[in-house]
Amino acid sequence: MSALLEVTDLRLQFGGVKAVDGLSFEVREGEILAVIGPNGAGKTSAFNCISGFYLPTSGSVVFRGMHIVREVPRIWHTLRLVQLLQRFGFYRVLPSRVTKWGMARTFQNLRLFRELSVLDNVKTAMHANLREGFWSTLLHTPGYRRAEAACAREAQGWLDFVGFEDDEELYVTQLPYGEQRRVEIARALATSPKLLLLDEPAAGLNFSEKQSLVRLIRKVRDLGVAVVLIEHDMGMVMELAERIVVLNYGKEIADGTPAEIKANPVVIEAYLGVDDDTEPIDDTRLRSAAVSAAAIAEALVDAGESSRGNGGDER
Amino acid sequence: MARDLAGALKHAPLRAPAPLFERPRAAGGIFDSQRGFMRALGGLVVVLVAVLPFLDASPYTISIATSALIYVMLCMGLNVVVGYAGLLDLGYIAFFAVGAYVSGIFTTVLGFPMWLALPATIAACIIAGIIIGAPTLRLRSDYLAIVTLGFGEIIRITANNLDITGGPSGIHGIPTWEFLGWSFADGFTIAGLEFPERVVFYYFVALVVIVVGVIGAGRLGKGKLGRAWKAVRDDEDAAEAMGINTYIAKISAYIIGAVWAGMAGQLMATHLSAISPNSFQFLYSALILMAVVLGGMGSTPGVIIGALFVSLAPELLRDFAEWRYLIFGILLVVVMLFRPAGLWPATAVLPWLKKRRPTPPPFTAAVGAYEPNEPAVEPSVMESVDGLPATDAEEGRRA
Amino acid sequence: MQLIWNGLIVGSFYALVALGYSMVYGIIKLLNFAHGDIYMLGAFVGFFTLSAFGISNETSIPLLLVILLLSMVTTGLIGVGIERIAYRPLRKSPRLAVLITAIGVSFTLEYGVRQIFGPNPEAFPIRLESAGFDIAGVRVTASQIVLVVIAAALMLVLAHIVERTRQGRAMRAIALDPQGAQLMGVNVNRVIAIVFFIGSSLAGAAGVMAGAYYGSIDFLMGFIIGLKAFTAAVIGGIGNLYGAMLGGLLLGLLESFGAAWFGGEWRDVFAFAFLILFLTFKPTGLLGARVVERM
Repeated sequence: MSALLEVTDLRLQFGGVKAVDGLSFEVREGEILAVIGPNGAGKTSAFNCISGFYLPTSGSVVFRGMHIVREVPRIWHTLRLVQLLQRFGFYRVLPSRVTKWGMARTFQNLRLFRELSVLDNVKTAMHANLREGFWSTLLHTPGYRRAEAACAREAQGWLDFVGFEDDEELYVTQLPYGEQRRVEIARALATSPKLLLLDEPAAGLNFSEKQSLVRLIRKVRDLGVAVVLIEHDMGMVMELAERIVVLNYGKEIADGTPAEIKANPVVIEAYLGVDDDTEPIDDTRLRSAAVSAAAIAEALVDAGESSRGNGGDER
Repeated sequence: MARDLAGALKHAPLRAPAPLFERPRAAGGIFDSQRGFMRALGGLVVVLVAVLPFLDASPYTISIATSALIYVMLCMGLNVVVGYAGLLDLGYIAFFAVGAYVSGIFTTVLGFPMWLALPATIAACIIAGIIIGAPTLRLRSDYLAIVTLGFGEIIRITANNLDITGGPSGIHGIPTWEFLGWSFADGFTIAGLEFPERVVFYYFVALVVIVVGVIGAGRLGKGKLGRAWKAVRDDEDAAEAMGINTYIAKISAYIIGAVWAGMAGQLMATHLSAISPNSFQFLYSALILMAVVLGGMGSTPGVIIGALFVSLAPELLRDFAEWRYLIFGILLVVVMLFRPAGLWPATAVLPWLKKRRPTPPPFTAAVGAYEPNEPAVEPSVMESVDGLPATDAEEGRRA
Repeated sequence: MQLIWNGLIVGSFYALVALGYSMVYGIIKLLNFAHGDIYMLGAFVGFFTLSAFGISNETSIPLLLVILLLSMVTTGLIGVGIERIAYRPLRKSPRLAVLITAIGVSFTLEYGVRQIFGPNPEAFPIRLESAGFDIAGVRVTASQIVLVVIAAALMLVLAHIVERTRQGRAMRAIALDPQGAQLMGVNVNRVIAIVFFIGSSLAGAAGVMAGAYYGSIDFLMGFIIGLKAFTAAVIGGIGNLYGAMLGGLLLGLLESFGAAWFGGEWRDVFAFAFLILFLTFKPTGLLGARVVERM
């Protein structure tokens, strides 16, 4: 399989902080890749660079043969005009363009359009695919009506696909959290991506919701869409991912199948730390998760809370 | 059905699977749907406004009513900018000024007929919208507010200082519309009813333009562009992630706002036949903004109500005229504190329709119902879980 | 040289008003639209008090100082009241709502004063018209010197408050991280009220001084200066106090030269064009820190 997305030596600096420090990995077509790492390891920053929101300090991101990070000629660096030029849209690819190329993303803290209905939220994502012009909208031409009807049908299709079960005329703020998560995924899918970036899609979901999320992500993969997800829930990552990339301090420290990652001493060290004082401040569930496969199963039970012990399946 | 719909979308690598069930068709009657009722109400209002000159054709009434209509047009334009796109424009009156001055200069200084000035006005407003919008729309919202305010002042001061705009005294003797040698000033008679004064007739022109303007702005707000505007208003980053070029969305809102204001400006120039820089002070920008905010940002009926209130209140309540700005100021604060969505919020549902919310779709459990060839590893985990939406469907399939 | 001196005078007014803008913006990220009207209010408080005592055409500097203090306290309290009534309930609201409220407040102040004092300009009862003298070819009047000295003194006091006192430290803490500051035991509401008090009283002082300098006041006098002061705050880097002072003086100078070269009627156009240029090319201003946009 060919590489859909290639990230090479990506670096991002905020002042003196190196958020991403020489990250390289690739995503192949139609695979599910998980990016894990302790809090503050630079996962979300890397996502933001890849989707065009942050301008990385250096490195290259190639998506379907197109460069998302543009090389800036040296002269602008010496003249210190890079920021200004990029503010005016030179030497950068806007996130909207990246989305049009076929990369969709969700946000860590849900960012739905709060004053739009569920259906309109999903329709909004079809912006680039809709044949509607200024005049056809003003005159309500048959073409416009058809486009709107197709748009509504497509949006309903996606809502059904993600298993949204509430009233789609509601405003998103009226929905329970889990449903909002589903809407966000439907919205990302409606941009018709080849690659879907999910930033902690399971955060705040209960066990059963996580299980249906796992099914949903597999379903998305079956459509031929590659999925990259950042996730803290080790149980879910181990169950779902075909490949895992582990980050720490903005660098890739491991890359491999779930089984390889579980056994990788570097990963365990990154999560546990060698000494007490280098140990990252993290929630206990996360720490225990990396110790061993047994601990992962434990974490699964933990997350499920009320559910019966099914850790055995994992072993 | 589905096949001819497919052509309505651009080619995309991924298509949604067909919806699992057909949604019920939306009701379309006058009293059982919001849309039908609003249409009927709008039609009724237009008829009432059109009948007004037959009841009271005094120049004073007609003049006030025409001004009120022009206010509605202005407010609809500002509503696109503030209400839909969420960009606070405090120099909106500048576009009104551009429209008024361009049509004034074209007809008096250059001697064109009024209808030829229309394309010029629109072109000038588009250019003005781009000039003002291009450098400023990358700014944060509060900076944008003050920069537009500065631009408004620049336009006014420029009009005040240039010779071609007539300096502080402005432009006088702007002609009315005329076609093929026939002018509105000549008056008209239909079916024994006389329309002697050009104001009366002009009122109808204004009415037609405003009806088109209101419907047009409303339609734009509902289409693809309108959704993009609202998305930008709610969350710019998320909108960008949805493939909307937020800069272009914002600038298009600006341009449309500018064109609406410019057309209102041209109507005003012909209506008053004289314009001066004093009519384009910040005060008026603020008044239009008040109308939009009081009525309800993003809400067509609300904005119309707001516009009528702001323009007619001082005329109807003479004693109140002295105090109106003070009262408007207090009202603005009070509305923002206690009812930020305005008198008629954009999200308002007619009270008798509230109980008839569309029923939730049938229980589909789409996630569970899928996966005919699910890998054999995980069902043990999946299906042993209670309360999963999947279970019902799973059972249904087995049965 | 004359241009520079005139520019400095005007610039010191701008700087005083810009300080309030900048302080409030720095601490709660609110563009206090009504700030220019507080300046106007300061002038009218002075006018009202003096008229109540039947004073007119006075030239005494001690009296000016007394009036200055009085209006500073009054406008400061008004500023705190505005914050309490109009801005505090909206602190968590979208920016648009707060901005619109600020415009409402501005309107209320302007037309409230108009209702009380009438729409026509009033003559300010204190006039500082002392004989001028020449220094190195520059015409300087004693009144100008007094004004510049007062402005400089006020700015020094402010710098002391912000840099050296507990409250000043609290202000800087809130500006950096309101929630963090609150967790550290800073009474955020109180500190914000203090900021509004200081900012408003500085604007009030500038209003009284402008009244004494120009001799006439009217209810719309705050509008343009509010805009200019904002420009000054942006040029210096909004949120940065020294930036506001620098920006004020710089804008005064720029205007003074701009008016000399292009003609006085283009003075305002010149200033606003500068604002737009600055915001487009260097929105952080001269002394503002680069803000990293994080999502």
